[in-house]
Amino acid sequence: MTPNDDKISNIQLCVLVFNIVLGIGILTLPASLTKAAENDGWILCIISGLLCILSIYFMCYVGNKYAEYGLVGTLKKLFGGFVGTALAIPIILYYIFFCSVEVRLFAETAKLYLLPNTSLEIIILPLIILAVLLSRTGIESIARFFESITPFIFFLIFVLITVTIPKSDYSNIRPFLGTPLTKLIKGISVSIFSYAGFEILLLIFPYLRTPKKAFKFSSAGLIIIIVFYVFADIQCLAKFGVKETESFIYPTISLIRASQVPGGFIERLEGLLLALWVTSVFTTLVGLLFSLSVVLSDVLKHKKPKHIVSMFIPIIYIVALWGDSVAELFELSDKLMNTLGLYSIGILPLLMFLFSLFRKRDVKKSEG
Amino acid sequence: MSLWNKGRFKSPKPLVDYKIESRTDISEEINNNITKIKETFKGSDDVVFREFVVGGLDGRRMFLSYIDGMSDKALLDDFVLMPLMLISREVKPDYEEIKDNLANIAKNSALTVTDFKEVEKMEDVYLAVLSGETALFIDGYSKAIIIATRLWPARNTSEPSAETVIRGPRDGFVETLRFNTALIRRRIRDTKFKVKQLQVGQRSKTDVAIMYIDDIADKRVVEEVEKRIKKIDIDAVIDSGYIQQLIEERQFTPFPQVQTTERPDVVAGAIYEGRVGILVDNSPFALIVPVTLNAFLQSSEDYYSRSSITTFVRFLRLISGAIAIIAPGTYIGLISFNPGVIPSKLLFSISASREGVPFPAYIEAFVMELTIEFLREAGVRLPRPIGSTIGIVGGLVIGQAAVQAGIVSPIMVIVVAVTAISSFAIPNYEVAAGFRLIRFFLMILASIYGLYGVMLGIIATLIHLVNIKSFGVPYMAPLAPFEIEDIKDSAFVRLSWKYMKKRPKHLDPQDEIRQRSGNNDTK
Repeated sequence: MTPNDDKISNIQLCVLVFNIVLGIGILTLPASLTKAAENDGWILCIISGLLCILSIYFMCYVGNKYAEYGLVGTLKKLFGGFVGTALAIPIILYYIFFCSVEVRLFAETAKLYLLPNTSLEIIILPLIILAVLLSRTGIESIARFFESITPFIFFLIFVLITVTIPKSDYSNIRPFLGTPLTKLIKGISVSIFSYAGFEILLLIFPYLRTPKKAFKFSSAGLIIIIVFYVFADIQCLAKFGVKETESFIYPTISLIRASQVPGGFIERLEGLLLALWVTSVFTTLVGLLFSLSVVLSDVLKHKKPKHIVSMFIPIIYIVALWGDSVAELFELSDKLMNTLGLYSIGILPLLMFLFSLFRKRDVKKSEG
Repeated sequence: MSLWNKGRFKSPKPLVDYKIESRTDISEEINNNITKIKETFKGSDDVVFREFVVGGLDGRRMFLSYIDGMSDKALLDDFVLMPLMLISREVKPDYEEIKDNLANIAKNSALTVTDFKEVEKMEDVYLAVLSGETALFIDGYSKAIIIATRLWPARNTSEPSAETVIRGPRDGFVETLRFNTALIRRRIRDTKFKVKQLQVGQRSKTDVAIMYIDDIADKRVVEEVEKRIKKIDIDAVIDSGYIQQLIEERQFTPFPQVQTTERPDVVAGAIYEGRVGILVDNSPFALIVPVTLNAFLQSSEDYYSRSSITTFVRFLRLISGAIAIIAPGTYIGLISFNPGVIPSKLLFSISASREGVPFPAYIEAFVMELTIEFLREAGVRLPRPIGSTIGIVGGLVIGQAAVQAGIVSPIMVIVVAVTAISSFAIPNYEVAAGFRLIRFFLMILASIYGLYGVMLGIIATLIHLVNIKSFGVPYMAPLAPFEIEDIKDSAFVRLSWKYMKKRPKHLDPQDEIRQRSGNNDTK
């Protein structure tokens, strides 16, 4: 009998971070990486991944210190009541837009490869409803869902790897570090947001059984993704070369399309894999929705996040249908990430970390 | 009924008040007792009343009552009436000497039966008689002696037809609770093994036995089982299915949260793992709680045959389970929405064979799936000789004829057949039935959304599954929550007994160790 305390274990945290971060981003990532740093995209990937782990460290440090307060509670503790609440508002906006962009991007790809005759509205709706249904059931069920889906995701990744490796030309990756340093640093801002999603660590601490080990396990989850991203990027370069990779909208799908299933019992693997990739997008969506509901319920001082999450069905649905084309969507998501994303992944954790350091001194002084 | 319930939600008063409020004492005057018991059983002609005298014609009056057909008459004749009426007259002490102490003498030195007890209330007497015991009243004694004489026509233990194994014991449960507990006891010679008996059903008074090992089973589960069974307020319990549905958390799910089995070895194995077994009188199906989806994909045979073979078989089962759920939905999705995934050569032959078919893929799939469901249902209910005929008629004639008539394509017949066979490869019938429902759900979604719909359906099913708990244990354990120790014996692996040194952790047993000192020396 597992304790019914609405808390999750360490492995569940690892799986949670892994599944939330892994989502629609992988489909477009190699293109944007190559645009930013040509054949050094994968180095960019590693650097930004390490930066994300640093951010995770900040979040865990603050989270451990104020484990029972939650995000809004911690903000209030650190910055005072009013400012603390105000600092949480951008996060809410960020989550709403992130959800919508994620849903829309997936729906666009699904329309392109799977359901050409079905309208976007119809594709989006069941995905949002299912995600809300799962987010309503609480962190325990969410974690269990993620755990049961993880072997399946690993299986997909395994298929992806085995299928794409043959007939690739790894000389495309050379020369290493050919890109100028300034370009690399600029590129970081592109690649770092492919890891967006681990911000759940800002607010997950009240739900952890052993918050002490959170850093270890969540960064483990992220490291798996770094490896996977690096692999995807290198594979795209090896298959297509720099010029071609740049020109694709969905290089990862093209990569699968260019590969053949041994024995040829499946003709177009990308259709099948994209259908299976729903699960991964779905887990991201659920994670975001859950985070959203927790933060908003804290801001509104409502006790039950599950009441709040249902009212986001129409909001996310409408926001997701905002733009007209994929290009517009990318523009929107770039804007979103460069402002709200930077705030919640970088600025806020850093601020919280610094302030909590000061607080520590305060506490010591008052004790002394 | 509390004060607060007096308002709108007042439950209707039962026509007959089941609760025995006034319990009557047994009186010393035997005539009172005789009238009472005869009055109570008036109209029941199978109840036997026998009055006799001990110690000569002017001796003490005695009276016994039992139900014809439920009691052992030979035992009554030879070991109750014989010693009391005949032998007691031939040996000392004389009746005159012991007149006043007759009841004790009768109990201690005349009744040559092993099992009897005394009761003080008439209601207990009625219940005992109804259960097949014999009640003996002695004049001048304010208690009744209940002699255990239960004996009724019972089926011999035989191999369960729904759970056959190639390797493993062949005995199965029968309809008599006592035989069934004995079958379990034979496998668990442990003083810590407890059989707690309760009675459920206001009218049927069915015996329900809760079985567990005291220092293994999770105390909270045992308590919860007992609490839930005690809470049942129903007139009668005909089969363990009643109890099963009344103690389950969720009623509207196709997935059972209680395992049923006819095999004593399965129950014993489960009890050793730390689960709780429930036996219900008159039912050959034992219940096991808590249960996980994992356990439903296992068969008792798995533990008797070699681990590598079992691992392979379990893998097969996992695949067959997946096929049973998704195959027709995937067919619909592929044919109607994403034919591009199918290799072109195969696609050509499929579309060639589908050329004459006037219906879209989903109609075709629904027609064939429903047909096979009809066949299955018909085959179950029919007597065995006709059942096989139905199989031939259904399989050959309908399948072949439907294809030739151009109603369905041959590929659809293959899909349906593979699905049906796969669903029979799942060891547990109830879970296979649940999978069938999910299959139809996925088919509907696939007709709307294609492959995307199949995935949505799987996600929805999984959301449901992770929310189910069986007596506090998550249904998807040990996969979710993940328990590395328990993966050794899970839906896709079974390691050799040598490596399964611990009991399943997700059941939270009090004593986790199965094998204390290593069996590694024999390596």
